[in-house]
Amino acid sequence: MWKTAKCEVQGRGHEKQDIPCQDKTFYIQEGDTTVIALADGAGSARLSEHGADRVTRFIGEEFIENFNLYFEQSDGAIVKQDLRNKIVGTLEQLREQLILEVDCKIEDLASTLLFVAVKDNNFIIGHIGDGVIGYLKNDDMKIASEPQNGEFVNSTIFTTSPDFINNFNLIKGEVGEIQGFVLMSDGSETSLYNKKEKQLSPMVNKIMNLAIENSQDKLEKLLDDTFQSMIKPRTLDDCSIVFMTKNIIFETGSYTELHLQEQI
Amino acid sequence: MIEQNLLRIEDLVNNPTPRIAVCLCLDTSYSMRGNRIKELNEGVKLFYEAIKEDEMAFYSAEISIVTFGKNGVECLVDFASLELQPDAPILKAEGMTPMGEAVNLALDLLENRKKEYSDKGVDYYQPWLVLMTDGEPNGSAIELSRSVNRTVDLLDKKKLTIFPIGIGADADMNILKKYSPHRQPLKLQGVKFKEFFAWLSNSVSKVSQSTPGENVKLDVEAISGWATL
Repeated sequence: MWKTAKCEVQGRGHEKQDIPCQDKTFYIQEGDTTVIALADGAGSARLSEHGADRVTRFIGEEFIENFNLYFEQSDGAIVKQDLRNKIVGTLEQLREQLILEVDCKIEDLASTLLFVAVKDNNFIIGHIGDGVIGYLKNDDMKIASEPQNGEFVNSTIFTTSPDFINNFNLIKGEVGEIQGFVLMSDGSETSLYNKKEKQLSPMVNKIMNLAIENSQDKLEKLLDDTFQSMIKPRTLDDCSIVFMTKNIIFETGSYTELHLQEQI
Repeated sequence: MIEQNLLRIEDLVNNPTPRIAVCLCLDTSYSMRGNRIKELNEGVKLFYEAIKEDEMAFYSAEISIVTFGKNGVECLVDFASLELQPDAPILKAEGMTPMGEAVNLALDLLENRKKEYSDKGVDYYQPWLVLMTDGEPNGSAIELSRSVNRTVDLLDKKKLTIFPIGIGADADMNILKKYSPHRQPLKLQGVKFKEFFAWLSNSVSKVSQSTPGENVKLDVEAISGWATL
């Protein structure tokens, strides 16, 4: 089983302009499937926090329901097209709900999307837009998917972009010795991802190790305190992170997997 | 206490602030003598001061100044933050108006700077070129044509933002229009350089705070305070 935790904080820029936090995170566990997802609403899209929230929930529920269908599909292009259609359909449904109260086009719901879904020993990673996906393997943090910005820092790809399919990074594989996965938004990147070296900061490793020893509530409180006091002041953007780690105990570099029941 | 084990500021990375390169390509030819060059100097100085006072723009904006007039075409200030070169240069009016050569030099500088950003892993915004003139270009026609083509190509590829500004009644607005086919060049009201540069610094500030997907709209209402179409 996997342990999950998340944190999202409103950026100083949005605080000043009284705009809600547009970063949204989500996790869900059911049976032997765990999904974490993160979406960063587009700055130019008026209702992007709604789109970001909906798309993360959709991804979580979709992979709980259909992980095997996606994993067993050998043609990634079919998976991408299928997910694209369903994401647009989900946003269209949301638009129809919102339009009862406020003028809304589907572009107003644009966001990035990052997710990891794990079932048994298999995983699927998906990434559209900026933000970073990392993983912990043999106690070493590695990058699974880098930020996808355009040439300019304030340009990226969103869930509603016409070139979604071409820019959708989709990875599947076996979990094996992977100990955890982490997703972060571009606001968190500022402090937690070295853009030149393409490496995650040591703090991410520490956070994931803390997840092993602490309850989810305690960890999320700690994350919130840390993000408010250390990450947020270093950017104007919203900052968020969500991760999943194996329930493991480290013993002189090796680890032993525990069952959740045994921990309780 | 887990807080003590956790998360120290030393564990964070220090990514450089994303940069916005702004090249001021300024006509300092003989016809700019007198009040115009005086007001232009005041305006550039104000631009520097306004950027220095803005938390984000101060670390983001990198300014270069190319002049055409005195000494032909000259890179008076190469790109650097105002932390490194805090003072505005003094511009003097003399010489001819080799605008094409100046714009080509400005575009070269912008391209080189972008490459330096990429090589060093520094994120950057779309660069800006401010072109100000009070006359007609009288340098090489080939260079002029090449500079227009290069500029339009970059604009079409959304790799450049240009602000062509005419000064006084003799400014060749037709050639400025060629540099900016999609957005009308503006004519400065009188010698309202200060108002223009205040607007420019405010616009730089907005861009330096923008996030992915955010289209920063130029404050059109504020433009009317210093320009006419």
